[in-house]
Amino acid sequence: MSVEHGQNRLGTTLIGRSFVHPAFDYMLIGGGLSLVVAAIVWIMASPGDAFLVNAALLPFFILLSNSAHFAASTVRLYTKPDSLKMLPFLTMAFPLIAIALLTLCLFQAGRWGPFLQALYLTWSPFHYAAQAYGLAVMYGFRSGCQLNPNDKRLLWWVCQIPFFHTFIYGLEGGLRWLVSRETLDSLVVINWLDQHHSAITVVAFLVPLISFVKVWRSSSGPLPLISMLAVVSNSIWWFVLTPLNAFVYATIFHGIQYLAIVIIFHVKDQMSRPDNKHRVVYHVVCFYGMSLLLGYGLFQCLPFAYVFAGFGLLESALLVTATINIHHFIVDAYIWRLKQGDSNRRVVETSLSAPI
Amino acid sequence: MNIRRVYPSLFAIGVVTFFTLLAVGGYQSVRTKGSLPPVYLNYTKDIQTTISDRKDYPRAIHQLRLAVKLDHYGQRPKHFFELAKASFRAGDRQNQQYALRSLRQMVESGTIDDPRVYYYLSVALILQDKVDQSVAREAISLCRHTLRLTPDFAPAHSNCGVALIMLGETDQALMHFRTALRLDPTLEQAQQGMQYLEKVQPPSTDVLP
Repeated sequence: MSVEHGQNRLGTTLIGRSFVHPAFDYMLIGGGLSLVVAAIVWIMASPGDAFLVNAALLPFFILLSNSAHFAASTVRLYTKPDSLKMLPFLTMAFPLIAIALLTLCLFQAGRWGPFLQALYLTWSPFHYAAQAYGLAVMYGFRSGCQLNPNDKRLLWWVCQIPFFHTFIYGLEGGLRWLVSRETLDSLVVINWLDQHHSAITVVAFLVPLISFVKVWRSSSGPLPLISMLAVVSNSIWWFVLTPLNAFVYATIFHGIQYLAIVIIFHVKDQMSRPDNKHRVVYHVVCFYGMSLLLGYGLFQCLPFAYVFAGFGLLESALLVTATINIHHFIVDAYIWRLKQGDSNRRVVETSLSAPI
Repeated sequence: MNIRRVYPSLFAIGVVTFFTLLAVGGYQSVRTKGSLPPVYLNYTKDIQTTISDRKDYPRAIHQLRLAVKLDHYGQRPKHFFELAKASFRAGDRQNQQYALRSLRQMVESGTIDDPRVYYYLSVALILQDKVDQSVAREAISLCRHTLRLTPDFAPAHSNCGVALIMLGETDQALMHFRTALRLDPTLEQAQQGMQYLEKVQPPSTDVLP
């Protein structure tokens, strides 16, 4: 009886405390759905087929997931309780600064544009890695795994592996931005890394597994499997798929993952307001609707404003995209903090008995 | 002076600026395209319009030079290809050589997944002022490489046909033009190639792939 009880408890600990339902959390937030799609892409993709989905439908997927997710961080910033008071620079001054910098860059698109592009492309994989880390820690925290500082540090470095991989091997940004191709070719370390890419890929997948065992055996206790799934799925996007597919699918699934978790946090905040009169569906539809509308405005309408001002559509569309990305990365670094007293902390600590 | 006091004013200016920009963007799109901005902003098509409708090659070259600097590397081979063609038409040898060198670098680095990159390089090669037999052979080899990866890619058949004419291998050229037209009956280069072989008249350089 006690063995059975112990096994049940271990099972529950490993599944972790989900926000909505284990299936929903594992597939959308953990990245399970992305692994299914990544497997299909990996099996089916031929050199001529860069994408799995119809090229005509791809922009709609990107709008519904990726564009909406970028806008969602801004919507969250302004709907999060007390954010104007707690983050005055970010909420009130930063948007105008971002617009001013974008406009300045457009005046010197040939000179500063590549820098802005390289910055955003270098930062992207780091941002994804940071999200995987944040999700892993958050589910651990919710599921009773009190990560000690050493384990937290270990998990952070493990989550950064895909970023380092993209930084070294990526064709855009990263090392290729900072160091000339000739210098890179002459570096012994880089040549060694190039020659041992397959081995490094295997090690990159073994390290998270070993780290999870290490954390389990430490005073922290076991992390739920969804934490490992979030870390591994991010690795798979960057290691298994071709660089072009990685950028497309990573952005779509990162967007889905982000939208799911940000909507959960928003709904929990709104439902806990004493004056709330609406149901969950209302808050979900409102938040996603606002994000979708803002996403469309940012990515589709804003470039045309610069076209009106005399800039080309090419530089307007590309530099607006780069600026929105960088703005999103910076906003995200602040709105997900789990400090004592922050509304995020309350959401993460919410018991299982109170699903959204 | 407490900087925080300025924040609300900056916020107000930021909000007004942002929503004005969105409104202006929507207006600009309706004014030029007759509808709100599309879900996919096809800036490549914008450059194509500059080339095909306006024949404004210097502007197209300027836009393409910017495109190869700013756009994602997956799009870059196409931009270099277009740059090679636009600078050929404009008689801009410097940019033509730059596009050719860049495409060659991409092929040699092996980092581009797109099999059309070999075809792009083959076109850039035969657009040069002097195309000797070795260059024509290289162009044919590149086209055949593209066709091994994407057998139904009509422009590669057509360009292969042009390079084969340069070597005097007209029977094989004819076969490639026929295949190209079977795959894409509207392909002008293949149509002109067929006409040339029928009348033994050189194809016009205005009809490029």
